[in-house]
Amino acid sequence: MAGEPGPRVSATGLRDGRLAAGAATGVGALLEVDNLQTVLSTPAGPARVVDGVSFAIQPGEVVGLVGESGSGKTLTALSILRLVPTPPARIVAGRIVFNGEVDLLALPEGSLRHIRGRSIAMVFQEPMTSLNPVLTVGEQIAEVVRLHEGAGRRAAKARAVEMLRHVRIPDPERRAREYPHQLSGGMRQRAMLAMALACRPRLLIADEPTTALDVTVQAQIVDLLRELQAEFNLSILWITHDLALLNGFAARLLVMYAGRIVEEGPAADMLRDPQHPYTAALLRAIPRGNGRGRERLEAIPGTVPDPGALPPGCAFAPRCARVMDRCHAAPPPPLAAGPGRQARCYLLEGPRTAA
Amino acid sequence: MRPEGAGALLEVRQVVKHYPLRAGFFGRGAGTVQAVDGVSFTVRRGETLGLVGESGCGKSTLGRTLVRLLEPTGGEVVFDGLPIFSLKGPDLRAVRRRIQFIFQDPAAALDPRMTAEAIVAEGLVIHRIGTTAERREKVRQLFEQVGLGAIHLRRYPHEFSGGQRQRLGIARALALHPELVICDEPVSALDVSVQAQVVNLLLDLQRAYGLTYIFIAHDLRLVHHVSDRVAVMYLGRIVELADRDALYREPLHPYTQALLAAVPRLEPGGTRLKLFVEGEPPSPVSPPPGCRFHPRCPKVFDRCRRQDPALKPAADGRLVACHLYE
Repeated sequence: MAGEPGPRVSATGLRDGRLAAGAATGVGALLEVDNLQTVLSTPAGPARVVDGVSFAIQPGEVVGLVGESGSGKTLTALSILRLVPTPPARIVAGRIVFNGEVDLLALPEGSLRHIRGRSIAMVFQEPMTSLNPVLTVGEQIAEVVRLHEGAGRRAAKARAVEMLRHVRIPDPERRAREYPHQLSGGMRQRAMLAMALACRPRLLIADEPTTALDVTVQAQIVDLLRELQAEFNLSILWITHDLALLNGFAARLLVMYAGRIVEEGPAADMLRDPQHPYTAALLRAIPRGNGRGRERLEAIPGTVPDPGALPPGCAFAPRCARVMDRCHAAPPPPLAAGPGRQARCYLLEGPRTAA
Repeated sequence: MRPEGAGALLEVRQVVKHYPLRAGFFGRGAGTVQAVDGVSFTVRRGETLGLVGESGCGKSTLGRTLVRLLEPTGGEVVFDGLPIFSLKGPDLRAVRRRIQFIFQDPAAALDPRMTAEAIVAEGLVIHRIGTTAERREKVRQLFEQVGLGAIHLRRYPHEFSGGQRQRLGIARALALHPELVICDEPVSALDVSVQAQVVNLLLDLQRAYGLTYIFIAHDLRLVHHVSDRVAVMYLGRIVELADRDALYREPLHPYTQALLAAVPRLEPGGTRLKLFVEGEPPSPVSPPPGCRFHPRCPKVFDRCRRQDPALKPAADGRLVACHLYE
């Protein structure tokens, strides 16, 4: 993965968003995000809410993007599809290469619309905000199919029922004729998934799709996505605040803090042996459900910094138990932290990188 | 560990809370929401009783009904010998002073037009405790105890972060020296890193003042962390009530088993157990006949469809409402 800012958009020989041969750097990657920067204008001035985010997703790979509120995880996801509300937010730099051939940030809106919903689909936390309350569930799925594939009315309808069956909705013919408010929370999220997957996208961006659901229903949706992922060979970028949620599902995790990816690597390695003090502190702050109980949790002091007033150095420095002088001077770059891993922390400099 | 023999502080007997369901503008009766339907348990002095369940199980309604923030439909609640449901006027006010609430969303529970100082002092004013100067000093002490500074006294709720607002809510609850604090999802709205701070504060205060907690939450990992005993609710009923370790180590009720199986695990490679419960809870307007969990229960048998199991002691003394253990 390219850690540092790559060449800017204009330098890559783009024509209508199509890259010149060999311009893409993440060989074989389905999605490559390179130095994404999104700025939010606030009453206090512009805030860099996504600050040089770079990562790649391979075909069929499940990647978890983990962060607390205000970390910039949702704006990162929205930026990928250029869905950030402008104003107040604006993508100011970066490259988002899909399938090794197009830069989504340089694409004309019309061409982007072909990719959105067809090649890259997105589901959100609250399905009610994305479902149209006056259309039946079946009509809405059929509409997506007709729009993107030019399918006929009858074929689209049949596909809608088939998709509802795919997401394990019982009695899909009847459900297709129902309106969103007639469905339970879990059923609605399944219907959203049916709509998102109707055109067989290659990448699904899931923004906290289970956060509003009860724990048993959440587990059902995670299990369902696990099955669908294998069935469709889907790549998934799953945004969540819960480090444990994707354990055993996501191959890699990206941990965001104050607009930057502070640590990334194979999920199992990160959960076992976190390298960034923020990841480590987060893991210690979560009750495991197996301790002696009534013991103090290891809390992280302070709060997430205001994106409009980030400290000049590492954004986590004011809360970090292992802070050093240089942490306050400049933000650390991504440093190697073991096989396939990196973390933005000066603790990784020295013996570890010299070895 | 716990002061044994201190006895029950709160006794809850067959508490029922039904809401009439209104249809249309003129509110013709359209059924009843059986939010809480015959719940009994006791809370021992100094312990934390965790109350878990999914949305709609009635856990929040139950918490509010206990102190008549919602008028009960039936049952009885005895707090330190006082029958709360039959008390009136000054007697009720006196009991309410001893039982305080901490809500999930402190933003909604705090008057936005009052300063933080006034919010915390309000209870003291209402109950006519102390002179103005004494109250001011008391509030300053409370701020210090919950980790807020003197600079926060004159601020308004919207100027606080989520974690600070919850600290403010805790200070307000503590102002009247309650004995029982009902915590209704007190950290659910907070980020993980801040959650731990507030949980620690609640544990510290419990130790310092010998507080008794009813801790209502949907997060089973958190409930495990803070509770001595845990009651599991499903569709308005308690289905299992046990010591924390027994419940988590060996859940008896199939619903408790399903809940615990669904909890995401942090242990590397420790994948969640394969879930074996399907569907979602039915509406509390028309709960299923027999055992309310039977339509989703993987261990259902004939009797479950006909007969409603009572909450009874199982072999190890815990309470469970399931025909499997009769």
